[in-house]
Amino acid sequence: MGVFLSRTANSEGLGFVFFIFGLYFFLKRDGTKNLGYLFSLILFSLSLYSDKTAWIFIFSFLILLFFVNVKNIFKVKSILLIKKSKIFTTVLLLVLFCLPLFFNYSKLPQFGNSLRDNNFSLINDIGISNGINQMRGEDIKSGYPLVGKIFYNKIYWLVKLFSNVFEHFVPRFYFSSGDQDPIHGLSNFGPFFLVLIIPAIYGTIFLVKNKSTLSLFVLVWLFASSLPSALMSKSPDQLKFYYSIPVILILVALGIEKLPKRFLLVLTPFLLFNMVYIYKDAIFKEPFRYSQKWSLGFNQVATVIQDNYSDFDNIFITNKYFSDPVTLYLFSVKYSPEKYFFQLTKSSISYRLWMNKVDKIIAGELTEVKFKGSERNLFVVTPQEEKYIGSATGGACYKVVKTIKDSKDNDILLFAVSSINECKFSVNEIKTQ
Amino acid sequence: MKYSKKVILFFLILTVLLGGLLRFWKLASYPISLSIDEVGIGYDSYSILKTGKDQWGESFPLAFRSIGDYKPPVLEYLMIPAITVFGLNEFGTRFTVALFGTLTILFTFLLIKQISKNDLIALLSSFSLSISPWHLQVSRMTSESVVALFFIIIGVWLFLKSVHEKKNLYWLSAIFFCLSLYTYHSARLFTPVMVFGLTIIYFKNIIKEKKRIILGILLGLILVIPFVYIMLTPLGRTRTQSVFISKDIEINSQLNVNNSRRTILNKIFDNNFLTLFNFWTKRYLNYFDFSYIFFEGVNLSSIKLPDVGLMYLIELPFLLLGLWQIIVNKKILGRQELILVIFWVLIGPLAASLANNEQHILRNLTTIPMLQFLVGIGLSVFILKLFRISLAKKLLFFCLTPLLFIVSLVYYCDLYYVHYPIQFSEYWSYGMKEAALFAWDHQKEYKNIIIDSSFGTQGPFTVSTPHLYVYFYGKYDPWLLQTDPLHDKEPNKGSADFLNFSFRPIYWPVDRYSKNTLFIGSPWSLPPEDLDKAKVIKTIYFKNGATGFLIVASLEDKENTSQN
Repeated sequence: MGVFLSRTANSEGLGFVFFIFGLYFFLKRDGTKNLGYLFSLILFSLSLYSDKTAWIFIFSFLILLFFVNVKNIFKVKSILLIKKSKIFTTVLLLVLFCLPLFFNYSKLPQFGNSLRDNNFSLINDIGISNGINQMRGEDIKSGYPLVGKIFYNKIYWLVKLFSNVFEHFVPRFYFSSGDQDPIHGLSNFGPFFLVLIIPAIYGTIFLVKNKSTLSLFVLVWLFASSLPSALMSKSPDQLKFYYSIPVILILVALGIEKLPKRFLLVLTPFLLFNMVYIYKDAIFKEPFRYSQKWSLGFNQVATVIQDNYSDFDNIFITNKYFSDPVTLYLFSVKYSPEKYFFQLTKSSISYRLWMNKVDKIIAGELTEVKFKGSERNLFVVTPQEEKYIGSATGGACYKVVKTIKDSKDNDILLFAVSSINECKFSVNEIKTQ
Repeated sequence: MKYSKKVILFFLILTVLLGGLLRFWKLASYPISLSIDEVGIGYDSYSILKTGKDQWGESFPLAFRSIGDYKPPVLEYLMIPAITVFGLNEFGTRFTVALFGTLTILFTFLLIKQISKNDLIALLSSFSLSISPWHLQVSRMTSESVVALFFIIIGVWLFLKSVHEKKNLYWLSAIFFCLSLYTYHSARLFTPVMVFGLTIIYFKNIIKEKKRIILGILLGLILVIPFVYIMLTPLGRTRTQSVFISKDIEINSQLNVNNSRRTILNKIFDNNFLTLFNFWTKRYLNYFDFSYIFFEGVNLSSIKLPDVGLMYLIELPFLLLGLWQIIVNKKILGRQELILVIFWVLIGPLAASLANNEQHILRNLTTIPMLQFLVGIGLSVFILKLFRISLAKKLLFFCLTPLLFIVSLVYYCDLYYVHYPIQFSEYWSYGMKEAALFAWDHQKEYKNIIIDSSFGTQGPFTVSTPHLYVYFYGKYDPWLLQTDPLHDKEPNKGSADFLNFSFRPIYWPVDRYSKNTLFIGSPWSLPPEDLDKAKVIKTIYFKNGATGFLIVASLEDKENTSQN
């Protein structure tokens, strides 16, 4: 998991790095009057400024620590006691440091919606409210309205949250499957090597048996790190559960330390085998499984569009294959941000989660757009959408001039040109590299 | 703390009665309809009772062909007395399993008592089993897994009794273990592994009783011979092969990548075994998911809707407390028993995880005694702690805990009796009974009766076995069926046609011109807007209000009707 997410540009990864350094300094020295403590505050703040997941995690972690009153975490003199006052001061100072950030965010249009969709989608889950209503309706129909009211109400969100949190304490998630989102990790494997399940369980049992303050600390950390992910409708979310990595590694390390040495001799070759098996899959197979999710092939699309840009009045890119084509285009052609912003200011500014227009490029669903048949249009669509090109141009003639294929040689995208003048464009008229 | 035997016995009887009540109450009406397996098993039992042969004419089979899945035979034979007494109907078909489910509560008590040597833990474990949503759900349907579990529990109990009390019961234990092999497919993996585990765990004990153990082994080997013979034939392997994990749609496309030109590195790190193993670990670990066990495992409602897990949420703290007691405190169990419990929990999902379904509550049922045992330990520790706290707290917890269990049970009952029938009636082939009875009532009025097996609310995605419902509800004489020239006319093709009944997909553009024919099918095969040349005689609705089946008479009958 660590390797995978370190190789992708995720804000969670950056926030996590700052948090870990911050925590080191936070635990390193007691008291609030030293440089280490200042470092920890700065690093925690940087984490909060990097990543919204940290907003939920860091505060819930510190608040939980405050309430469970953890003292003498590692039972080693050099690593200090955490006083309640220190935790309280830290939370207060972090809130103060981050006020500008929160203030700026709150002023953004769609801030509330964005936060709900990306960080608290559980409360937005229409499926849950529909489900509650359906169950109540069935109880009314069956003549037991009171039962429906008692069992199917807003408390179900709490049950769901509870269920989501518990889903983060199962071995399958860590060692076998993860959340199976190819953007968050390898789709065929868990965030940790399967072989490590044995030391992790052994470490957990050891920790539970010994009831040290470390046990409580680890439990608090694990619980707090599960919250950002548990608040999502699709939970567990591996990316939002990033902050739990050290906890699992602590358990694994404890297990390895406490397991009999001869067992480690057996474990090591299996671990090596496990590593090679996973890395081989990650390098040679995974890229082909989910090339679409990683928008593989868009560079080719962008190049063709750029080369033929002046020949067309409108360029349409479907969002049926690439989920956010305009953003991809802006990135691929290094589009000037000032120019893009200028276009936005010509109309009323509205913050959009998905951009659907830049210059003459339009992205979206082909069935929802209309172009003048007299104009010259370029369509980048999936083979399944080809049949809608005619109706999008009011019956103008079109011709497929180029296709893009995937690794299995299947057509994934078509370039079609349309014009009222009976397909005067030909294959030769589109420049391709 | 010692308890009077009479008190324990009293509460045990109460627990078994409660379990029996929950298993037998409205048994004929809930689940809402007999499932495909239930009518298949019921009619095969009836057929054995009447003719000594199954529906396909096989004499006293050890693998029932049924719908081509070659079911293990024990349940079919065990159901004969109930079908004789109650007749071929819903209650008669479900009675045997409900009875075995109820008796499992009693034998769970005996097993847990044998393991823990503690009456209170055994009683609380059996109480937990008596109200378990998981065991209730499966005991109320005709499922072989309940009977197999019953035999396994008795087998282990007798084995432990022999070990602990030096009794000569190994031979009896062997009989029950062998019976489980003939009862349910999952037991065919679980039981041998369990016997192997028991042998290893108690090796030091049993080695001292060579004569007794040899008798048990010999008897077991003799009883297992027919089983081995069946498993070596294609009949015995059919089911195993058809549901094996490699058939799963998720993994199937990733298999068979063998290519002779592959490098050695590829052969080592990229082969079918590793691919399957990696996939299997997911399936296996899935059985330890909290949401499966405590929130939605039983699947009484559709996805995202409030549901119930294999265990009640209220049992979670007691389960964790139980785990704590046996692993951390190590007070309740001896070393061998601790290993046995952990081993049982670990191998419980083994057979289920090797099949091509995710989280199957029937195949995983063998795990249940140990989970309820952990809850029983937790509950007993909790109750004993209650005696040491203040009166006010004592009163509070003594009232609150039973109340939470009652609320959980009511919640389960609401889901089971109200919502489950509405949301899942089509998956239980609801409406097939009404259609079959209607077809029998009008059987002589038509030259042909054609019944389509596909239906569903969202599309014709549910496939049933209408022929079994017609045999079952018509109580059709099995001897007549076996000798019907149309029935199984092409051997091994599974033609279920008989008399003037034909079971095939309806293709309305062509079938609309058939004369003197009664059609029974879903609106997907009999589109209401195209029924101009036919007459809809009856409409059968699913419990969710959607149209399930249309019973349609063809043109000629319509003309006759209008003339009349």
